[in-house]
Amino acid sequence: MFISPETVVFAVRALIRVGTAARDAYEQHVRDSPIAIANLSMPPFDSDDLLLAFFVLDDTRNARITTGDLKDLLGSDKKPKSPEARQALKAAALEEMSREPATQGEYAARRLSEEGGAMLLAQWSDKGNKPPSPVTRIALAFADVALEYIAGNPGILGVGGNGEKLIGALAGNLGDLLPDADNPTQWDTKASTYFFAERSLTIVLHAGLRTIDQNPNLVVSQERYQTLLGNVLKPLVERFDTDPNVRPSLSQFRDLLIGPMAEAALSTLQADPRAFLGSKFDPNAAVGAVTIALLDVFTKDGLQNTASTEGLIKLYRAALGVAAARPELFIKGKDLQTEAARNMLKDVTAALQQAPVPLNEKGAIDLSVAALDAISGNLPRLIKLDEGKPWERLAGNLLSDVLTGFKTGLSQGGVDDALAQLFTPDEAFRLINIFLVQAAETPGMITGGGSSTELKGLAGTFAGAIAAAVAAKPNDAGIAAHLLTAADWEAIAATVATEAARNPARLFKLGKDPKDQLLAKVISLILGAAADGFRANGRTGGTLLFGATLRETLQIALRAASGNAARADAHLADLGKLMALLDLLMKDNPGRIGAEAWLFLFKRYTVTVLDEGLPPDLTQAKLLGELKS
Amino acid sequence: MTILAKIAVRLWILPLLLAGAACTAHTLSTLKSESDQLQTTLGICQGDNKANADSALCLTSLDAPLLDLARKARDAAPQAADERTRIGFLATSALSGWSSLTPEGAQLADDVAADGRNRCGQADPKSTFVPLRDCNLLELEPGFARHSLAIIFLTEIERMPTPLDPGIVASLNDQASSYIANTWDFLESKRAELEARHFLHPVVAEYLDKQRTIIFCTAARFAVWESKVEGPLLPTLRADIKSKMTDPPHSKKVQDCNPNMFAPN
Repeated sequence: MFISPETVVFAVRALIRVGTAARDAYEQHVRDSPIAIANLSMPPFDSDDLLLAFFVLDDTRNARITTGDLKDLLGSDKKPKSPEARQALKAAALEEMSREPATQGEYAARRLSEEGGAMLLAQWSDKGNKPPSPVTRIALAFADVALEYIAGNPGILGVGGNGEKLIGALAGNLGDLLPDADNPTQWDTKASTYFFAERSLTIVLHAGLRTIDQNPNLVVSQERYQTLLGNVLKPLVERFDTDPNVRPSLSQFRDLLIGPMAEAALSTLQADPRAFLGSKFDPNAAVGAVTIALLDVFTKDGLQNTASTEGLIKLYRAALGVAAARPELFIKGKDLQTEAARNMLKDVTAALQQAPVPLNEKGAIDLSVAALDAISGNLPRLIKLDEGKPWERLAGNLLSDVLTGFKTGLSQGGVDDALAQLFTPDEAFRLINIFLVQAAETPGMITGGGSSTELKGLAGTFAGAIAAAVAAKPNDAGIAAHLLTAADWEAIAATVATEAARNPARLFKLGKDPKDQLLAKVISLILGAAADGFRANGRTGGTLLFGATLRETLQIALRAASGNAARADAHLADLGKLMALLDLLMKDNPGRIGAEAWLFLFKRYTVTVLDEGLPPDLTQAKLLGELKS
Repeated sequence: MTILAKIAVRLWILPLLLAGAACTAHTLSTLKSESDQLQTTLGICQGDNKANADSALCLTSLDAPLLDLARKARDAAPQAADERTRIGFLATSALSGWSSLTPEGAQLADDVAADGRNRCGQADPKSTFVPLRDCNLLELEPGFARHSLAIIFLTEIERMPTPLDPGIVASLNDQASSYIANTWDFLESKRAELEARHFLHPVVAEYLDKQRTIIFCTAARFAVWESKVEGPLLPTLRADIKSKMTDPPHSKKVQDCNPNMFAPN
């Protein structure tokens, strides 16, 4: 999708502004919080000096102690001469005081004394103009972001529209995600959580608005949005709050993934709205389990080292697909089955270690996604057939079996990189995916408790046949494998997988060496004949066994052999004779025998030849007669 | 990778910027928390439930941490990204400075408060929420700092042998003659000015009310010393105190300095 420069500028500006808003809001909170302030210090004032002050501050009283009736009670240092003098001065003072009314100052002084301590000074008075609270400021910053988006996408915030619901949903999550704005302790101790949560929310807001913009027909209630996005965001924020050790990883996770994850969650909801409505189990909660699982594989299992961001999001989306299909697997009672979800993701990514080239790079994550997709569509049957074994292992086992089979087969075939020589990564992926899909759809081919020897053997035999075709041997320049396109190989793989599923223990039998398997022998025979013919004749018309014709020949032979494996193995050499006979017929009758006629006759006689051997009466004349009829 | 993710990656510096901002805010938060703790302790030390000797020891023990806090807040102020946060640092520094009861602290308070007052004055209330309390404290700081210097002096001469050295007596006269003008007069006039501008926080006004008694008592303490040294200022000082602090509505009495001192046995 084309992204306009304006969109980029908007995104950058919005991110920066929200970051600034968060910083400003926190600073505002700190500087506006009340401060304790002690009273000014009292001067040192002992009781004798206080007594003296009582007389000194008044002209009349001062006259009493300097020249009047009390002058002999004080010494030269203006202290009472004796305890008796002190008592007399005090009595005189009390007598004077009794004649005076109590003052406001006296009460104030008592209060000052009784309260002690320090008083709290707020920054702002209740009256008058003062700044909005930090939470209000965050809300304003959110609105600002949304409004700027709307400027380029008018109508997204229509009344009752999805944009309005989305913002309402995010606002509904603020309370759960941000520290309590009225609790200074939380603001002081959870400042970093506040920043983290706030930025996560804003990233999700962007992602949500974009998803909604791209899916205008989405019909979802605000509550659904709120729960769904809450389940994407809460695990992240809670983990950040409780586990300081993983904060750097979580920040990376947030910046890279939380937006696409929110998009994935919303898209899943959009793709299958019924899955999120009226279910006995809440798929929203399952989303939380998947989110936590992805967090774990990212922060604890180091998955980001082996998968690209796009790959991780694909994986998350695929896992969400499983959760949407069978939410009950992710929830037991009130508990989220996060470990099961984590194991599921770990297994499907661990299996990638067996991925052959060219699928051993970061793009290999597509195979994990494919395994999850293959499983999610067949989960109820697979779980039932697997008799309660760990469901979360199914996808991992499936992928592991197929990849191990391929790797082993290629190695035994002598060309480890045979797939890389023939296919692009996408083509190789599609080839392997055929086995993943077929195995997931075939009862008993995968198990939750352990690996499947059948599946590994099948994949290995097919891969071995490919490798053998690629390998250069004394009498084979290795050109046979190149007479087929990637699409041809995919079609052949589909035939092999289908026939192996329909007719177990025919094309592939347990215990046999891969090269001795009927599957390998059929492919080897036909590709060998094709190679010989092409080497001898090229495109002079002396052979037709390449491309689509070669593909159909292989498919016909594989289907026939699969249906009658025991006798086919015995008469396989006769199949080569049939092909030689047809080639000769074509050479002798170049105007009459083309690819279509060649295939017609091959198909007409393959089953018979594999069952009984080449009919002794099969002549060119008879074959031409078949064409006439 | 989505465009937002790409932007987030390229803006990897943003978390650092935020963290930097958080550090600034956290520093203010930490310093304010430290200030609250010291001010609360100071208030407890000032309580009259302690013997004077204990109280003096208690107060003295706070001098160094308060001065240290004043320096830290002063030094942190330039790092603040927001002008109002910077003012918050300066107010915290000034408060700690004058509370430290050290000459250096008082000087530091004067310096940072001058800076802060300038910043408060440049902020336009029409376009900015000027931090009311912090600016009030900075405006009032000269009066508080002069009071602190007076307390420092009174505490020092309290420990000196009598009769006092003539030079000290001269200093006493200087201090006694200027105390009321520098504290009471200054604070009251500044208060009136702020009120006229509708720029006085009610809680700050309440705080000022409570300090009147302390200022009265300090003036009374100077009067007692003038009496003891038979200095020339006593009549003037007495008249000054009487004209300002013993008339309604601010009437104060010596017994306000320690109500329990004159309680009947």
